[in-house]
Amino acid sequence: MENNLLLEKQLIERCRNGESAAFSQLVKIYRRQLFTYLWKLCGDKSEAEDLFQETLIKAWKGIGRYRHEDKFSSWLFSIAHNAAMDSHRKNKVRMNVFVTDELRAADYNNPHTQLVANELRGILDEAINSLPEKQKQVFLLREHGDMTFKEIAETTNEPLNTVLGHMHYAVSKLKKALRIKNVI
Amino acid sequence: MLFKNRIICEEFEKEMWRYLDGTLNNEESVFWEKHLSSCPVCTSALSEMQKSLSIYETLPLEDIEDKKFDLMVEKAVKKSRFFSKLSGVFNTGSLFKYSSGRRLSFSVSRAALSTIAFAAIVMIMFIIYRPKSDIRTNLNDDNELKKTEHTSGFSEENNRPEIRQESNSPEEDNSTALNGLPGVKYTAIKTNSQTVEWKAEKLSSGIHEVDYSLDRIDAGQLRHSRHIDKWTLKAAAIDNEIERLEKELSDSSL
Repeated sequence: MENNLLLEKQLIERCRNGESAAFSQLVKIYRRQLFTYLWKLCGDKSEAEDLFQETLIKAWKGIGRYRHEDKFSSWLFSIAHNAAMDSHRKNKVRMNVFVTDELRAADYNNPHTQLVANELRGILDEAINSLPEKQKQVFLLREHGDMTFKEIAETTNEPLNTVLGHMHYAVSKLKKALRIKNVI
Repeated sequence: MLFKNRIICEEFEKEMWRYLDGTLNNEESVFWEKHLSSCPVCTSALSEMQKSLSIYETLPLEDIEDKKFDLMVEKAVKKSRFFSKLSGVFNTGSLFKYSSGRRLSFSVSRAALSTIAFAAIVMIMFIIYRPKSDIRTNLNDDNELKKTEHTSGFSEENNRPEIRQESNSPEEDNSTALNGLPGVKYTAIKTNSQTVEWKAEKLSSGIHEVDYSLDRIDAGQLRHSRHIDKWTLKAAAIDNEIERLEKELSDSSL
């Protein structure tokens, strides 16, 4: 863990010196989490790619202003979150999770595992899809951004108790969906 | 007792997430540990929440193809380098400063006003004279710019300035001072160049007009209360125009 943080710190310093290879390496650490977060938040792969690109531009541009006392992942996810919210405001497109065939095609080798995983994914995506916007944001930031609730509160400009409430309702709904399908 | 327990259990629903987050203080942690050890309702609620989350967490994450990711990083770096040439004036994406979400249009420094005029021209000229190789890379990325052979002032698709590669022959190396690449000559289309220069000049003269009026307001030659709204609007319009131009150029630079 400490080694990872040290590596991250070194990469950030190299980014500040203008090394794009270090930036690539740094973002790669969170690439999948970040992309999943954006995809699930906006519900569209190509929109998620645009937002991912926007996040990279802003992160590279702002890396000089990043403070080491903050968690890099939280900083990166805040940028992604703000980019998504800006896009949401500009485009007035309702962020919506829908499960495409592509999304359903999980890369599991075992056909049975794949079937179960796809069904599970369908149930969970549907549950996330039905969440009110704020609950969805909090849940996804927590799950993919690995943020503390305090950090989520700062990112979303919501009071901590409200954020905790959003998380509670979001997970309760997931739990309910899983229970209906007898998964738990 | 039962009622008291119910209140505590309801409270745990709220505190559960901070408990899982590990952000409770020592005293709170000890309290909830003790409560959990004697409350099957809260223990079960906690374990169901954790289970629901762990099921979600077993799902595979999405990913971007390596090649696409590399291109995205390349784009991000290129775009930032381009804007960093504009020496901080555009750093906030806005010329004017904000306070509590409202524009304070006249808080902009004079130095920034003159720099912005220069920066706008630099930015526009960069677009006109940027090297072809750059465009070719971008073409692969986005298909945004079309390489054309005809000499009309604007590309048909998007009215963007065109740059033609005329020759690779060594005899025509006279343009290398412009682009720094031997054997490649670039010609900015005159009509386009005039148009963008005109845009820059218009922007620049607007900025100078605001600057001049600010001086007059400061010197008491214009009555503050009467003129401030007018120049606030003017400043905001310039601000918008710069943002629009910045976006337009940033789109066309990638």
